[in-house]
Amino acid sequence: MKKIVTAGMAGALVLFLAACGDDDGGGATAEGDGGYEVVYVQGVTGNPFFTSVTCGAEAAATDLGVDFDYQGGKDYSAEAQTPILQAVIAQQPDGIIVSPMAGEAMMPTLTEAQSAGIELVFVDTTASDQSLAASFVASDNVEGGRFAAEQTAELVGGSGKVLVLGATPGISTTDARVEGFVETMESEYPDIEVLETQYSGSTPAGATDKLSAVLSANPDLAAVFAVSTQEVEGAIVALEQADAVGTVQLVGFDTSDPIVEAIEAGSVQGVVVQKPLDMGRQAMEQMVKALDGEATEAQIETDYVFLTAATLEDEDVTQYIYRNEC
Amino acid sequence: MIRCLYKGVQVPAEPSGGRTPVLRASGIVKSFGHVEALREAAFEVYPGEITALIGDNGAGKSTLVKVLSGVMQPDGGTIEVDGSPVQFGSPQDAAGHGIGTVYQDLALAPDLSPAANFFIGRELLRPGLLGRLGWLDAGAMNRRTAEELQRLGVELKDLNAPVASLSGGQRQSVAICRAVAWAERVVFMDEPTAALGVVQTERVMRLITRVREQGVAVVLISHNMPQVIELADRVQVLRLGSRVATYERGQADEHLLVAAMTGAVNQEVR
Amino acid sequence: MTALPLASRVQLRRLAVSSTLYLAVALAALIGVFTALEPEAFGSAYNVRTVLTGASILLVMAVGATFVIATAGIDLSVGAVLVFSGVVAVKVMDAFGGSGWGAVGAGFVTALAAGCGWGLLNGLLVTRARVPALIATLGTMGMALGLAQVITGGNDLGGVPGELVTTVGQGRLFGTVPWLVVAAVAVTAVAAFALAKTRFGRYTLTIGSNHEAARRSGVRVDRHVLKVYALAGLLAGFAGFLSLARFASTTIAGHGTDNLQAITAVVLGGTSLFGGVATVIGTVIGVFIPAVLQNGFVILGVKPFWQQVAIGAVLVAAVYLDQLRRRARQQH
Ligand SMILES: Nc1ncnc2c1ncn2[C@@H]1O[C@H](COP(=O)(O)OP(=O)(O)O)[C@@H](O)[C@H]1O
Ligand SMILES: [Mg+2]
Repeated sequence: MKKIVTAGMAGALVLFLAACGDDDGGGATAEGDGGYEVVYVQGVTGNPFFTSVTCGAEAAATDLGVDFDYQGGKDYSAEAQTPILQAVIAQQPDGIIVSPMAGEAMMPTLTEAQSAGIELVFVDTTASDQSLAASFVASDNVEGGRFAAEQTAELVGGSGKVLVLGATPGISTTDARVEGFVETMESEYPDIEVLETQYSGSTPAGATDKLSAVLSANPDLAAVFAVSTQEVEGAIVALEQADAVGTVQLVGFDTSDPIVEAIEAGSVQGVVVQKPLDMGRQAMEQMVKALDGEATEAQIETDYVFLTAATLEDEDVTQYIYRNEC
Repeated sequence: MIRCLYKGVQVPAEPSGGRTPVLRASGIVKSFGHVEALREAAFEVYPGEITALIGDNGAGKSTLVKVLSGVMQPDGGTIEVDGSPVQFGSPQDAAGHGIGTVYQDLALAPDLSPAANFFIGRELLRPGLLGRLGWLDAGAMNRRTAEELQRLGVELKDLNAPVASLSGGQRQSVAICRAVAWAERVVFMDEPTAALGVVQTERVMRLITRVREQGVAVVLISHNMPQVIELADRVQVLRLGSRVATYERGQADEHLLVAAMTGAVNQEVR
Repeated sequence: MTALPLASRVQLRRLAVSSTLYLAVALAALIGVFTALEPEAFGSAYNVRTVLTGASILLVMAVGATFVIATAGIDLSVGAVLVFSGVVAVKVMDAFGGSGWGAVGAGFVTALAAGCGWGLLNGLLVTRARVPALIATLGTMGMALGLAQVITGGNDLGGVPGELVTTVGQGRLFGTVPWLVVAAVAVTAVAAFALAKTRFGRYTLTIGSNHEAARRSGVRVDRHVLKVYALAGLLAGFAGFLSLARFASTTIAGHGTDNLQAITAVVLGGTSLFGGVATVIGTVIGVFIPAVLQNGFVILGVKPFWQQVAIGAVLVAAVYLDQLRRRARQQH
């Protein structure tokens, strides 16, 4: 979700942010009081997903007596993340938890951190050489798609036509959700017909237009899986226009305030929610193990919860709704 | 005083004949940084005449026209219209005194129709509330344009076609008619035939004579000496920012004009 | 410099007027083909309504873009201004209690004012600061979106009053015509009249065609250009309000390509990027050609990737034909 959001904004933001960035990314690390100093470098600041990771890491840090701070670039790009990470390295903390930009872009800076003797843990995303990190904590988007498929199949009683509303082809996170969903439906639910995936272009309006057209051709549609918040918001409108709210089951991915409202209102039957809070907590735990010289888990997969009208009151589920602040 | 460096030709020093010029400029100074484009230039236009303004490239002709048509403000000097001093802060001020210009680049909007071009900045609105809301009176504008073109004998196939679809001569004619439509005293024309072929040049020259017949004085800038001699009732020669000679019809031939332009003749010694 | 033979001049003339007509015919043909192939699905009242509704918010922005492009300008900020206007409108409606028509009215005024404000800033940057429109509006695009994110922390706001969503967003006039469509039609009709029949429109086209000619004839060019950018901003603000009504969300990340979509529609509709030639009705057609193609292709079951290929090809072809027309016109 964050990739879609930020990819769209990145270009627009560069100019503005270059001119006048304000500093809400947290201050300098306080002097240590004997415990470890660990800094989390977010994928991008001001994003509820990363904020939730931060909250989890912070809570674990408090429990473990770690001196914690966080930083993040102003947009989701290597250009924004590199100087932030370099500045953090210059502070010489004991460890850095980071959600690095994928691929090669961050490798030189990450290697720098390693040669400065700083422990690394990756969370949510990994750079091309994962072995730089003592551990990598993330949820698997293919698994998320599979989980969404299982929930959707249950909602429609195992049969009927189902549409996947994708974001923009080529975005790895959302593509993986589509892949996991479609594969699961095809292999495990023979009575469910998965229609050709339609792509919203990562805009709610695009999602509305595509779903509306699909409903024209398939009035008997049973369910829609919308791969991110954009597509969910657009799908709600299309279903309302078609008077199909409640008859066509709508399953989404990730949360936002309007979507939580829509779940309350019954326009969305459920959304798959990642556990960024757990990611942050586990990343911090792995970090401390690494600093203590204990064995770490090379890779940890966090799972998902399904947020529905029925679970809106359930603290076990709602704690995972992404946060704007801890 | 006559100062004649060109052997064997007599030229009068006072070519005015006692009438009041419709437009008179004297002592006009205009500098661009270190370049003195106009150095105390004098210039007169008499009613109902075609006055040619000639001079070598860089002599200051265009600058003088811009000053006299309100596009530029002079650094010094006086301008009189019908004997009373005036100041032009903008082309609209000059237009208010009945002075219009056909710019060298024509200043037409190529995508708009001749009628729309005639009325740029002077659009006619419908009467009443609709007009106050800005509703154009397209019919009235078309009619006035057609009348104006007809008065000067210009024929256009389609009054609604964009100006860009007209030939060069037709475009020039539209620009001239537009200027004449709004200027009852003087129309400046900066090299109106420079970009035209033989046939179209002929046509535009005839149009210029018809403008004079309508009682509007024309100031013609041209490098085409035969054309100047044929059309002009009066020729004023500019050199290095000052007027150096004035001739009435029949007083100068091509050689004399060139001599004046190149500095071999100077009637006016400052 | 020789005059063209009369026959070919007449032909040129016909080409010039027919640009809009020819696009209208193309659109009608598309509709005809889809209706013939899928009469039930494509031709249904429901489908017509969804296509019309789906295009209405973009249409409002594209109408503003038509005026800007008619002056030979460009406005890249519309999508960001839409988002910003929506965000501040929600904040204001929230301050007014978050529900009731009073709150909705306050939100409406706020959205318009915010949009108009950004438009004025664009206009001032272009006319006073002489920043090229491309850069000026790219800058304000970043600023508007950035500020929207600062205000919201990057998270979409909900809390749009229910009255607004159920009436403007989902309601229909006489139970048939969605209010969003009514709003877009009203804006379009007024704008079409203003561009073609009023002095405001005439100044807009004159400035785009030759701003120097306009200036020399006493048109206050800078002041008019400022008004045109303000109008585009105002309409983006209005679109922002409609978008709130429609999605009940600020849809912050969903408008990154609105500017390109609007510009595409305008150019497809025969308006020249060089200014001076523009019609609002052309823009309407320019909005609907891609919208109808998109809808028809989905209904026909064309694979998504081929949809993009086909739509892209149609856009390029249409503008190429327009270029041919312009070149022919300037050939003498
Ligand atoms: N806008 C300007 N800025 C600077 N110099 C100028 C400008 N306009 C004219 N000049 C200079 O003033 C002189 C007279 O120019 P101009 O009036 O165009 O002459 P002409 O029309 O007789 O060829 C030339 O030296 C020219 O370079
Ligand atoms: Mg000149």
